[in-house]
Amino acid sequence: MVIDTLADGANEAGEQDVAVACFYFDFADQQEQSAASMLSTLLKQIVSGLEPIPEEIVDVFQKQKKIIGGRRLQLLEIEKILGSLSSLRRTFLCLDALDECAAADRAKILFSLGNIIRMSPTTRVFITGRSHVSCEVEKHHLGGVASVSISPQKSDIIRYIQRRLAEDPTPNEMDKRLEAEIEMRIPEAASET
Amino acid sequence: MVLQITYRNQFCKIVPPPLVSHVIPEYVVPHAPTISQAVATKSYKGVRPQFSCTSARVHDQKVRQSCGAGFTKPGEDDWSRSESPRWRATVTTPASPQPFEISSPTPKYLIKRTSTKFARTENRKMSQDRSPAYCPTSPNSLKDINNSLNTTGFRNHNTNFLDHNCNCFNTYNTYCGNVSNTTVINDRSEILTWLSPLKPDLRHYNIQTRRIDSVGEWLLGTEQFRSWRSGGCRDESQKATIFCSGNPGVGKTYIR
Repeated sequence: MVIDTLADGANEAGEQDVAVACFYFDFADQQEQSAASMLSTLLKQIVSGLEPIPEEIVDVFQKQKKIIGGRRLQLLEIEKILGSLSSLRRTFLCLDALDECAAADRAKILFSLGNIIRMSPTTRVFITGRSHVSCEVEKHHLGGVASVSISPQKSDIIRYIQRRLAEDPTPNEMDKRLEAEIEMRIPEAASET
Repeated sequence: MVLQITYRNQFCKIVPPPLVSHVIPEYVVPHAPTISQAVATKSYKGVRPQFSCTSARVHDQKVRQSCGAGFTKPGEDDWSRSESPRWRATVTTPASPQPFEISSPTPKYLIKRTSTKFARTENRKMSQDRSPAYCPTSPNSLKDINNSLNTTGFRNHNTNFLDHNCNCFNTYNTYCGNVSNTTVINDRSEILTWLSPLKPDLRHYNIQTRRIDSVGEWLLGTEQFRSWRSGGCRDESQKATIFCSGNPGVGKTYIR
């Protein structure tokens, strides 16, 4: 999900100090993927790129550590810290499969992202998801939303099939005719859907 | 009942341990306890216990009290008659001047009886030998206890205790260093794990390895993506968010 492009591209372009953080939502993990845990995971990734760890975080950690053996941050606190840290560097936040996040959390997350962008307008947010969440995303504005519709490109499918065939663990069972047929039929079928 | 004694010119109060309100499940020990079960490293109400004992059963009441922790059987001082099903762990904390007691959910009348007896024992011991027994402990006073144990030869006639318990004081001594407020947080990973225990890098790695080069690259060349990416650098008017929508399986996750 563009993370490698963003992270590596920054180095090539000679850009300094780019922070990239990502989160992959998953239906199966909805329980632990709450709004707060997702944002704190982003925060963790951004903090891990900082040396030394910003004092404000160390301070909060010292305080929270003494409470129930390490009380975690709440959504608003995370949001505030994320907002202030994002304005220090060019920050890319990438969220995969937003539609797989629980609906209640989704609203909270979008709301928080909106706040973060407001605090730090240079923050860039990359979101993927099924089209039905696009109106939710647009509703929260998030500093302006550009929508791109992703559909399988024929060239991608062909490239994918070729690669998979090249990695075929039992190449003896494959002949040229079958290979050609696979390469023809599958992209056709995909473009029909 | 509150006892007041003088120990090393310091005025100390001995307050009978508070009772049922301090039940911490981790410390409830239903069966014959050893000190190892009292490893008191978990903080309670924001207060970290002063020491931790890692091994052995402490057989002597005085020592039990000296270490600041131990198990007492309700209504009985003698360990050897260990048929009673309920035990209490006592832990001294550095921040509060009084020991607090963690008790298993014993019937109230039983606790009451025990605590009175406990306090009475205390009183007797204090007056007899001015041992540093169960008084509020500072790191120094505990060290003193350790020393006095050495000098009085207490360790010799109580080898059983010693054999199992040499760790007790070692642990305590090292622990002392951590109690002070000057502990330096230099452990990045501790802070990072506290921020979030989740590991998105694993999932990313997983996807990275299954990705096929240059599939989905067209997106990176689109005007929308490029202006989104370069935006924010100089020009804040650009859209801050890009939303890639598509049906399941079209490859949204696998864009490089």
